[in-house]
Amino acid sequence: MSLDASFPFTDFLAFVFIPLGIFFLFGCLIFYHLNRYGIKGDSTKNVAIFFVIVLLILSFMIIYLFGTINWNEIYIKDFIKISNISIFSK
Amino acid sequence: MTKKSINLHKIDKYIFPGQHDKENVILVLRKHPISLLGYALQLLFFMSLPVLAYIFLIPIAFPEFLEYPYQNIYFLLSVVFYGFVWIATFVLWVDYYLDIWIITNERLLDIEQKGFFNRTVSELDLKKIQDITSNVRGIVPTMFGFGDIQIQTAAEEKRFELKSIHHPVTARRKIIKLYKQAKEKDRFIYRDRDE
Repeated sequence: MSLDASFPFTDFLAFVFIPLGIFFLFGCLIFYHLNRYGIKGDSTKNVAIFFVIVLLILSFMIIYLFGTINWNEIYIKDFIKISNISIFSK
Repeated sequence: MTKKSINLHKIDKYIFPGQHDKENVILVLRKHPISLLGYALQLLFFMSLPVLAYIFLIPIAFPEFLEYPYQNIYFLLSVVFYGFVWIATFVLWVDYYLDIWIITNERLLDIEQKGFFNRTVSELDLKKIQDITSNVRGIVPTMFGFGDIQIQTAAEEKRFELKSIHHPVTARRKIIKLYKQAKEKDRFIYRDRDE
């Protein structure tokens, strides 16, 4: 995927950049609190590592799935067209 | 009841922010993990939503979401959703983990964490304890061995409540023992001053 004019920036922002930014922000907040207020000598570190590993796996999955989609094929009209529910068809 | 059952092992290595010199941590108490059961069930429900929707709702309402490229979009949205659920799980865990009662040889600290930006720390000198009550109420607390401890101070101050903690009876006995030790130590200090 090249960062040319056809790169779907809006979709990238919505599906990758903002969610990963929120993950990062909350991850930092959690680490800050554990480091600042946590009791040293407890098993905090292991739990925090587990949290980060799962979050990293999810982040890589988001990036991978974003890369598998040809965003130029997708239009909001299609979402409306494909739905069988009447409220979307109107 | 053994000492190990209330996490007294290796307690001497615990260090908490604001610890005094020569102050030893005797007990570190948290709510019983069973108190997280309600949250755990809610999180399980949220985690099962994308799977349930994919099995039951999508084939009927949005059949095109079963084919490329919309299927990938569905998976992408599901992973983003799981990320947020995972974050919510950890926000709850941090709340549980930092909500703590620390009992040292000098004082009792009641640290209450509410979300990320709301933290209350109350402190009670062990020598000021006047009355201490433990209670285990109901079938579930009796089965899992958790309950509450109420501590009344000598003055008309805040009544300390340690809610849903492990082995409240053992913890209460330990606090009483520490209170007696603190009083004894205080008596010796005064006697030394008088002499």
